[in-house]
Amino acid sequence: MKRRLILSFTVDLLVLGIALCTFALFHHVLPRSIGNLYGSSNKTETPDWSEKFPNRFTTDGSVITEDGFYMDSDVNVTVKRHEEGDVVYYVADFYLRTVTALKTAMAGDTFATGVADSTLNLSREKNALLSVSGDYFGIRQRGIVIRNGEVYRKSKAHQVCVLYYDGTMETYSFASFDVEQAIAGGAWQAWDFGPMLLDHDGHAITEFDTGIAGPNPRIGIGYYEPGHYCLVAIDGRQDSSRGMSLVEMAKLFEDLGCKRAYNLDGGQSAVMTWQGEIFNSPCKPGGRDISDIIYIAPKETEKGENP
Amino acid sequence: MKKIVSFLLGLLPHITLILSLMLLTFFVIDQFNEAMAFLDNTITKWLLGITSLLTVILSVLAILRQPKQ
Repeated sequence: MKRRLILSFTVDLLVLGIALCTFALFHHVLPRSIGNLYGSSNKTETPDWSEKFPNRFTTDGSVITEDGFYMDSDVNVTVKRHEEGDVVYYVADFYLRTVTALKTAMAGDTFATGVADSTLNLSREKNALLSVSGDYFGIRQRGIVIRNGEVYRKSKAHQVCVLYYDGTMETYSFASFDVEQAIAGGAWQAWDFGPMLLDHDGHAITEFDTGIAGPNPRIGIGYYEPGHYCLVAIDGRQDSSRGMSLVEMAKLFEDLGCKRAYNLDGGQSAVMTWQGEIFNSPCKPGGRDISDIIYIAPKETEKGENP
Repeated sequence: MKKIVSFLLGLLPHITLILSLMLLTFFVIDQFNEAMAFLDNTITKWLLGITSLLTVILSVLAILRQPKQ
């Protein structure tokens, strides 16, 4: 009787293992291409900020590169490593001539679940000057996805961050976000991960209702004003850097002077690349394969586009 | 026919046990990584529905089999 019971439970556990593997296969391993179902966002006016930031871009088409600095006629990027106590983080501060220089790329150049690649591979494919891991939309079946002006998914899942064609960036709570309004308003990019880190006065939010609020490797995007943004990568789960909690990350963006800031996919996904190499120190070597990156590529050097 | 029904009824608790353990696994890993949406997806919703249905059947059978006081 006892032996039969043990055998019975052993078989149940084996079937459980097989069932979990099958679930994983369909949940996030097998690629499922979804395609673009909703067309383009309403392309509103895209301002040229070369006069607004007169000394931030070259005027003769030249390129200036120094250690951790790049400037051409379209973009101006400064990347810096910071070490504060037991935390290491990286800030990429950048000015853009037009918002369309801040792009996103999808693994396999397709909107699909189960398709993933490393941040480094994706950044090299696009000849990105600077890139970070995105919101890993491919792991979920819900969540707003608007990329490079194309609307891929309209069902919201979390708090949403939208970068508009006019260069403004806005973060929304789940309840206050209206996807049709964002599309009509000219959404250039929209991410659905979060949470948002600053309130609408630019002050750090101090309470987060999420299971991932503790110290972790993180990626975030910050907004100062139209044309001026930052990307932040925080190392974590290592002896050299424990990572940051969401409260600490929010404070960091407040101290940087951002008006809006938004948390993107972190943990093993947290990777920042600079000039074709990994710039931060991911907790998993090379980082986790993900579905999308945010990147800046000077137009002249991007593959697939004419100089 | 009776044998088949008896076999299926014997299988029910095992299926319910496996599905419940699956859902418990998703619940636990969701606490650590909710971004992966282990609970918030179509497959899990179906599993939850099937588990609930099987639990109802098992409960009814258990109640019917209770010895009369």
